[in-house]
Amino acid sequence: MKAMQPVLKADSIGMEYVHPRTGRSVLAIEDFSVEIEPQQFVTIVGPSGCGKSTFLKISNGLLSPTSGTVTINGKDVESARRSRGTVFQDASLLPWYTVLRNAAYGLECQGVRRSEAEEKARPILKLVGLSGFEGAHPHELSGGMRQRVNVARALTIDPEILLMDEPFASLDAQTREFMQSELLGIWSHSAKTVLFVTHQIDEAVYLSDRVLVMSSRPGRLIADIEVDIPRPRDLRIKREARFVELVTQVWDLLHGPESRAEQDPQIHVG
Amino acid sequence: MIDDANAGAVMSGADVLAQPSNDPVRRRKWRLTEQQVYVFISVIAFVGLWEVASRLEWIRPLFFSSPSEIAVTAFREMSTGDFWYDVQVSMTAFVVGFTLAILLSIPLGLMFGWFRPLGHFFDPWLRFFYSTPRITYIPLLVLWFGLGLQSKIALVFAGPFITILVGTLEGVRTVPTSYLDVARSFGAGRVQFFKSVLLPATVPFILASMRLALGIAIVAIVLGEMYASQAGIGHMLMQAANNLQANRVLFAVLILTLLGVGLSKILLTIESRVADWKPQT
Repeated sequence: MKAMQPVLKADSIGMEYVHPRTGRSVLAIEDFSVEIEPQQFVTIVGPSGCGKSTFLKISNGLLSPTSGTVTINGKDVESARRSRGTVFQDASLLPWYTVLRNAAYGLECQGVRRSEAEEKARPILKLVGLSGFEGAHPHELSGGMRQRVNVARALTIDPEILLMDEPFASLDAQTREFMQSELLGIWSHSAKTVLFVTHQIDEAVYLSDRVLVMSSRPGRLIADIEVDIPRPRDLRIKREARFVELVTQVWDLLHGPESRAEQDPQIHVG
Repeated sequence: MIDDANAGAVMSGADVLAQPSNDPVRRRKWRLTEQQVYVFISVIAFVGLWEVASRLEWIRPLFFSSPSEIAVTAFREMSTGDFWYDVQVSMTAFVVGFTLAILLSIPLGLMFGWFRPLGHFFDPWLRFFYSTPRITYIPLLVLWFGLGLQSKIALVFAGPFITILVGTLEGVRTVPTSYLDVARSFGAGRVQFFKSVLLPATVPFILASMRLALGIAIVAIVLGEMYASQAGIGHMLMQAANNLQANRVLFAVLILTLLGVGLSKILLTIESRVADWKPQT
């Protein structure tokens, strides 16, 4: 066995689907391959509709790719459901459950008894800064707090890898920055591998060890950029030269000739 | 922390709706809200005006009766066996018909919602019977079941059955797909999904449709008894009207209204208990 077996391995993923309105078949992802090493924080950036969220849905077993395979710890994603925890785009908390029960819900889904699952969720809620809110219902929380529960629910199952689908997209700019630095704090304590999807370039650079840049449809990997900014990272690094340089590099990639967006605007469907 | 401050603001939001306390010394129990004061004045004024108008014969007492006369009638009726027999007859049909409707419609609604093809298969029939004016069932039901308890039970059953079934089905169909994604990606089985998502999401719909069905059932029982029965509150109402006894008619109306208000109040209480996770509106 190799010393560093990748936690997540995607092997030439292709995804094609029939557009519900036009009836034409659309190629969403083309020949997408990636390997994610343990405890790496990897982000996929790309324009809307580039298939980055689709790739995440393939990785958490909600969609099957047309071609290629995704494995987590060498197992197919379906049987690896204990190894992957998903953080959803809208918090998707169950409104009839308390914060504690929602945080425990992932474990409950895997057949763990409620009381046991809730005991495991308590320290996680503390980690994400929600002690004292165990008995509250989701509608009583702010958007940022709901996303904390969303993160806690994924962490409670103690997964190998966290799959995060634009979790801060619906938050206001201030809360989003605050949550970004909180997430890095949580990540440094939990030592998890993270695959994070976003369309915000500065978010990607700030959080990640590696930024994967995808082209617009069909989504292909056009760059794999190492972020060499040392950790721990303060929010202030966003104003430093190296950070700005990296953001500009990614921006150029997304808007340059490599991107299909300007070459072939008709490709934009739905 | 920014977020925590927000949460505090949201949670104290309920207090904004509470009445401002001008006089903290007086005990809370005895204070009426402004709304309650107006309701109280309205009831007193209307009943008083009716009584006066009837006594001074601004309106014909024969047709309009008066609050005091209705009160006397209520007292007299309630001391007779006939009245209680009518109540018993009506309530039997109501309870049996409504209970049967609940017991059959909820499982069917859940089933039609869960197995989509089954739901689509029955959709045209559900829409058809949902839209049919229920009063048109009466002649048919009398034809099938004759005059009496059975046809009344069938009539009370029909409206609520279809109403609750459609409400339950609607509830299942509007469960947000994001909840399904969460349950699936964490590996929930069918039973777990049913218990944790489908049922809690649907219960408010079921209860709301039951409240709607309650009104329909009361109308059904009165109609059934007016046209197809020899006893019951509806029958008593019809008889009184034929004998020009406005006081007895109005007494029956009062009884039926109180029944509707009381039962819907009970259901509302259950609703707020079961769905205590909902934001207060």
